[in-house]
Amino acid sequence: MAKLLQVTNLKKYFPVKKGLFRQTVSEVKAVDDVSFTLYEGETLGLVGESGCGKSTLGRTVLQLIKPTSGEVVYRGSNLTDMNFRELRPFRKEIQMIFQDPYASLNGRQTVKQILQEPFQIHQLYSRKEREERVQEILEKVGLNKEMSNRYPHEFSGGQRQRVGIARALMLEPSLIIADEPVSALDVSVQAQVINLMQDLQEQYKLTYLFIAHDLSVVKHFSTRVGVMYLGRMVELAEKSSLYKRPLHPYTKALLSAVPVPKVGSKRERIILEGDVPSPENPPTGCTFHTRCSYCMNVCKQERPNFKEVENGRFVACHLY
Amino acid sequence: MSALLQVEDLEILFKKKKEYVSTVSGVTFHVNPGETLGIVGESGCGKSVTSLSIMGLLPDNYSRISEQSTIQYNGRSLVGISEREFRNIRGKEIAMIFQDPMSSLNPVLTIGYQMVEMIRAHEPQLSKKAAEEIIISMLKKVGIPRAEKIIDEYPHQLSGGMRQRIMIAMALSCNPKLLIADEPTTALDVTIQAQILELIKSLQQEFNTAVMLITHDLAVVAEVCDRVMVMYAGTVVEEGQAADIFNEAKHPYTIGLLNSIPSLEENISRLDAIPGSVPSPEEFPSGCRFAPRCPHATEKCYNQPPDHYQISDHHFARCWLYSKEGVN
Repeated sequence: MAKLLQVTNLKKYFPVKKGLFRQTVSEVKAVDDVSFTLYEGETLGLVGESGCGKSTLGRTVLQLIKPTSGEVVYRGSNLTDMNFRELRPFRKEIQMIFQDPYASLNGRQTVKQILQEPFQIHQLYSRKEREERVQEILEKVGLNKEMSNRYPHEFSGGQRQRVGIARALMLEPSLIIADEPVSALDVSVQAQVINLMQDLQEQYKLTYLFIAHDLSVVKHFSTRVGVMYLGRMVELAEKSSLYKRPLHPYTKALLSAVPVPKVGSKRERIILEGDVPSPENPPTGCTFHTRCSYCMNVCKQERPNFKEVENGRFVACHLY
Repeated sequence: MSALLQVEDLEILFKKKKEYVSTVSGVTFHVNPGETLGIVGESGCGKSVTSLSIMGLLPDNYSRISEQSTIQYNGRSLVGISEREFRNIRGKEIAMIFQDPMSSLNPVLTIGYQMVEMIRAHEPQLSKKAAEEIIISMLKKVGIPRAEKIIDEYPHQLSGGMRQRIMIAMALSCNPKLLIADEPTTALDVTIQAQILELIKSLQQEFNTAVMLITHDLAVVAEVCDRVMVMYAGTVVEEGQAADIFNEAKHPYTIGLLNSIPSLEENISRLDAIPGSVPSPEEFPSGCRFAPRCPHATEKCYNQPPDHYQISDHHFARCWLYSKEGVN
């Protein structure tokens, strides 16, 4: 498979400022040295608990937030050195779907205006063609043509997320970064949106970077899955091998903690002690060592490398 | 065994443009002492409103419970009793934990102050010191390290999981017989959710408290509940033992709901989604409220609301498919 996107040693540190002169006293390491490759046509799922940096990673890839260091290479061009104007053609290629369809659509614009805005920015198509494109896309995402003159508040949550998806598709991108696209939706509607996103992937040959915290949704939707903890990627593998045989102790605990809608399923559960440490002051060495049951001396001092332990399988743990 | 809580034919109306619209209607259920009843449903199905009505927490300026409804707690009626009488029940007999522990704790008071206040409200003869001792032992039971220090801290200094533990400790400190937990783990991460569910289970055994667990997450219900009640658009559509619901779901809505969850164990290429979305209270259909989204709906379903039909001993479904006369 062809490489679409290559992320190398990406870091994003947010400064913590305090006092009268707003001096930087420390840094929050939201994304700390993350590397991965995205292949064409695949769906890479990113999972992790709140505060692990998965959303920041998604935004940094898109250059919505400029990274502190590291590279994001899209089809051979390095996005990290580009300025706003140089980035513009790439914005057409990489689009984003946001979690909260209430907040990400402008409440004062009709659906038609929302969907045509990307064309105005990129100066594409004539007025008539734009109208046609809007109608076409609306139908694709399962909405009525007549709905194009309505405002976002007139839609239900699921429909609004469909508008968000339609907006992301207007410029026919190749890569879509979906940041928790279904977590605000009810289960029955969530399934509809997941099915829609799968259909669109086939039709438009899309590649997804799918960010979510729900492990069963990620399993259903992704080809490969990356697990993040405190700003770092701890494991990355093919979906089936990751879920069948997780290697990293954190992945093991995370998977065992997911409740299953079945009565009397006797699964062994690893219950982690304590909370996720603050990213402002992460533990030394392996950031997971404070909650890990396999913790060795080396874990407290040395940071494990994110290395390939089997074919296509990356783990950051001293056990391997 | 007589039920601890018996709710019959509950109807709750909300004022909308000067008119009262029925949201929850015909809800009948009971909670036995020491058991866990799960109430599941999507947003807007009336699960939270039902629990608020039991606690007498519905806003009376724009909502009311209709006359024929009965809510009996330990043999006494909770409908239409005075606010003063309710105060003796809330917290002491029936306690509640909410979804968001941050907004249910007072941010400007220390944890200790809030908990002592609550205990002394119900047992005024206790000294501050004695109340403090009770809360420290309670906090230790819910797994909070350095409980003696925590009581002097403020809610913002704690993590979400810790705050939820505090809420649970607070709810259980007066030894209530019924605990209503409204989405207690929804705001938490999976690993923390697992901790809290374990905690609720073990505390329930220790104190023999009955729990009403309200959630949208079917998996959470499967994990902890003895009996399950599925709600849709203000009505109970199916009720049964947890095994009945998860292994032999009968109502098309329950089946649809179970099928639309991606499985962690099996691989399916496509999810079976339920078409459409939940109607709002003004546009509830006159017949079965699920009819417009139901794959088995016939004309009868659109015209006449179905009753509860018994499937086995404790298993009921509100669907014409299981009536004697059938769908036609």
